[in-house]
Amino acid sequence: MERRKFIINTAAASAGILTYSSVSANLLRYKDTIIGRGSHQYKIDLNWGALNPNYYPVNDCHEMVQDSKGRILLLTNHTKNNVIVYDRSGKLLETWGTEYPGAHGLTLNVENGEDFLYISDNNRHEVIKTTIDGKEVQIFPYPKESGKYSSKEQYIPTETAIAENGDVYVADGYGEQFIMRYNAQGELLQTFGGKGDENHLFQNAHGICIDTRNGKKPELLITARKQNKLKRFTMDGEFIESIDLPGAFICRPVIKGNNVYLATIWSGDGSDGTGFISILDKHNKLISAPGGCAPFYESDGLRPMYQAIKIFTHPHDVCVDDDENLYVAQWNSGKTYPIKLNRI
Amino acid sequence: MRTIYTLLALAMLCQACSSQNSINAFMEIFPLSPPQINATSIFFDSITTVQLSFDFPNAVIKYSLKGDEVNHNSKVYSAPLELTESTVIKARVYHPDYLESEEVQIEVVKTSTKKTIQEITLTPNASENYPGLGGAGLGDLIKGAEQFGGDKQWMGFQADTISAAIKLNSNIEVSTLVLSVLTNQSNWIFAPTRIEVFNEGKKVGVLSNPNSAIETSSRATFLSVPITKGTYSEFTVVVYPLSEIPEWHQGKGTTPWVFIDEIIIQ
Repeated sequence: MERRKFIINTAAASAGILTYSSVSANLLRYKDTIIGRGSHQYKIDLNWGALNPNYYPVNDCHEMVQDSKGRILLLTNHTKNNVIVYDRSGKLLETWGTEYPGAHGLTLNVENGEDFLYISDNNRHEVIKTTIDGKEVQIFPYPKESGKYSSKEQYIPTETAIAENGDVYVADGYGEQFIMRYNAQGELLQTFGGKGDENHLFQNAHGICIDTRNGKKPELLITARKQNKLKRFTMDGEFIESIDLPGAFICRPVIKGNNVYLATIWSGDGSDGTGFISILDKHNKLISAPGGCAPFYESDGLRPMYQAIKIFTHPHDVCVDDDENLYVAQWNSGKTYPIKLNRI
Repeated sequence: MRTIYTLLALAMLCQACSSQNSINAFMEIFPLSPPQINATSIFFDSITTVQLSFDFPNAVIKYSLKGDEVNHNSKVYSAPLELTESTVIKARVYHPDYLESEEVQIEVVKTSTKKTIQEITLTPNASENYPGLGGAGLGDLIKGAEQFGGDKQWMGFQADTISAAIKLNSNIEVSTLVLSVLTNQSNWIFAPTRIEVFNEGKKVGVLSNPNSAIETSSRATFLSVPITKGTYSEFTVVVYPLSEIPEWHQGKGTTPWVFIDEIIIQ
């Protein structure tokens, strides 16, 4: 929080200096875009993270995480540089990765003080664990032993979540909609979920994370994107509750503090070019939707959401940094780099 | 329009790059999204209500009912519109700071809601991926959603011609036959280019739709085929898709999809 205040002050100071230059006098006639509501409002930084696409190309920007050093890692399905590492100011630090044609899910887990990455690859039909600089240390291949699959191609993992005890959960979000639970050694312990409309089943189980907010016993949060639902499960795969977010095609839940952040890839009726960011409070109520309409709860739940401003094109993931600024990676947005939102 | 936004955004970006600091995006570079538009019923026999909405501070919805483009001078929407005639409703959102939205439209059709169609037989059958509800679904007066994925009303075809043999409930007087189709070119779905209607082998109606090959936004459209006035008990409707996807499209040269959800006899 202190850090945020410091940044706000610095920004104010530099704005003061800028007023004296003619260019900025011109710029300052315009009003800054502020998106979101209440406690979660943001300005849009146009300067962050854009690179020369001839040298550092991206296709879809699928997911982003912040590592223990504070660096921001972007995963793209461009095999010239699957992983692009920025500092927080958006400066390029390094790139690596050429072997992940279907790079989709990126999860960071700290194990004995060391950062590890879990990459879910749609095309390779497996999950790859690497060190923070890209050395492969473990592969979770297609779970033949589950008995749920007759071929590798049916398994299209989209996301992982790693529990305190080392168990690895993999969501088969583009495949048969099962959730695999492995131990740290990669032995399959359990399979639950599957395709369907019932509470304990999924349509597009796209994202998964572990929820320990308010000091509660760990639970799984799993998105059913096509159903516009976020579902709570026990760590043993028992269904607890479904949270309805009509009009919000949510990708993966990301927890920071008491909030859940969800990039929302399509919105409203699911039309092309839509999407916004969904931010839930500790009761899992939508409180702010940067780029979307104002959330409003009626007696029967959330009024269906839709996009209000054409800022985002299919947000696919959101990374929340230490100062609660957001970095938004987008799918099928014309090969654009991520968008940074500075919290105000 | 999109190009203009892109250029604007790029111009802003260049200005941003010349500075060491991060530069915030101004409101003036972003357009609003179009308003939400809903009708209590697309097909109605006496009255239907159209509701427009946009939950966003300081936004104003403007609309037109005569098919003309919505501009600054168009009427401001304040309450649901009660309509008693077939109407094309167009709308946009305006805002003091953001750019106005694209236009959206909805078409409501006054028609007898009594079922006039007994049976529809299709040749060929719809694609396995988009089977719709079969011939019965084309006469149920239930409109498919514009977002077709998962909507059971739409039947999808990929064929040179689609032929629908329609048996009416009784001998009725008919002046128009309306085909409800989908245009969604980014998903390779194009409106038909021509529709011919036959009665006992004799051509009684024809409609050319040269706009089919022109790039346009996604929407559900009604194609009205004027029928030689008379009393009929059956029709055969022949639908001609574009022979191939036009040059400007990434799918050029291949057979486009045709999506149909309704045939209405008036």
